[in-house]
Amino acid sequence: MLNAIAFVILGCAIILGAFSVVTVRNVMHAAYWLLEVAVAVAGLYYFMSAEYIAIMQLLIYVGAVGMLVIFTVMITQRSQVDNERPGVFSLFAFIASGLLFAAIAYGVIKSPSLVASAPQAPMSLLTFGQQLFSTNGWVLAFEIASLLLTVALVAAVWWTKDRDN
Amino acid sequence: MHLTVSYTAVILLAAALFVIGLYGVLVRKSAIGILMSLELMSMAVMINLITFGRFVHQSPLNSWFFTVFLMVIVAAEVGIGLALVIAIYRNDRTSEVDDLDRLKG
Repeated sequence: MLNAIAFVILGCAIILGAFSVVTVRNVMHAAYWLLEVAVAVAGLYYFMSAEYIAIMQLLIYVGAVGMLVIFTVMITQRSQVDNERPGVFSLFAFIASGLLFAAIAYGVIKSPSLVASAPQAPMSLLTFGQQLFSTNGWVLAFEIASLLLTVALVAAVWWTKDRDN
Repeated sequence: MHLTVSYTAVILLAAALFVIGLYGVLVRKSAIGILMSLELMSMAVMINLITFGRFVHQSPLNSWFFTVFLMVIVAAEVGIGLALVIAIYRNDRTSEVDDLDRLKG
């Protein structure tokens, strides 16, 4: 199972960081808080013995996506400060989000326990790689993912191209 | 002493992260802020996948595959989204979604 002390520390880091992401008015500071949340989530993966996913999280979210967001903030934000919505709308959004959380929590707590009885088989990266590239495994999804990334790259370049000249 | 938590606590943490992201999508005005909140929501989904793979299923392998491919999709989505933000900024000199009301009639 999951170490309780690590879970409490990482959980507080995730929740407080996420709350800062959505409430901090300076968009650049929100991007930094997003990096903090991504690192804390990677730590959570590590403590759930998904070390490979933790490393992928650090590489993709902190390394690639975070830097992309920060560059876009630097390019497009003139005032750095996000305007506030009227308080009534924020209150409405807060109530709607709270109701959704209450519904999810009710469902999770009321549902029967799903924990597997048998002990976990040790997870090896070797099996992961072999399954990923085997023809009766996930190789088709892998190829489709690479095609998706290529299409997204071309589309991003096309959209950001300067068409004035 | 070795305290542990059940998977329910992790699922509740992911649910809290998801609704915080939803709140951010609703209240943020800048398009980049909305994209950042969407990333919080996708992170909550990935925590759910890893948690169910680790605690509920016999082998966590399938949850790893789903999470890795979800990361690919989110990376593509964020790349396209930020490219659209830059394109809109180049046209309209704004990145706030409230100013983009040309279809309002």
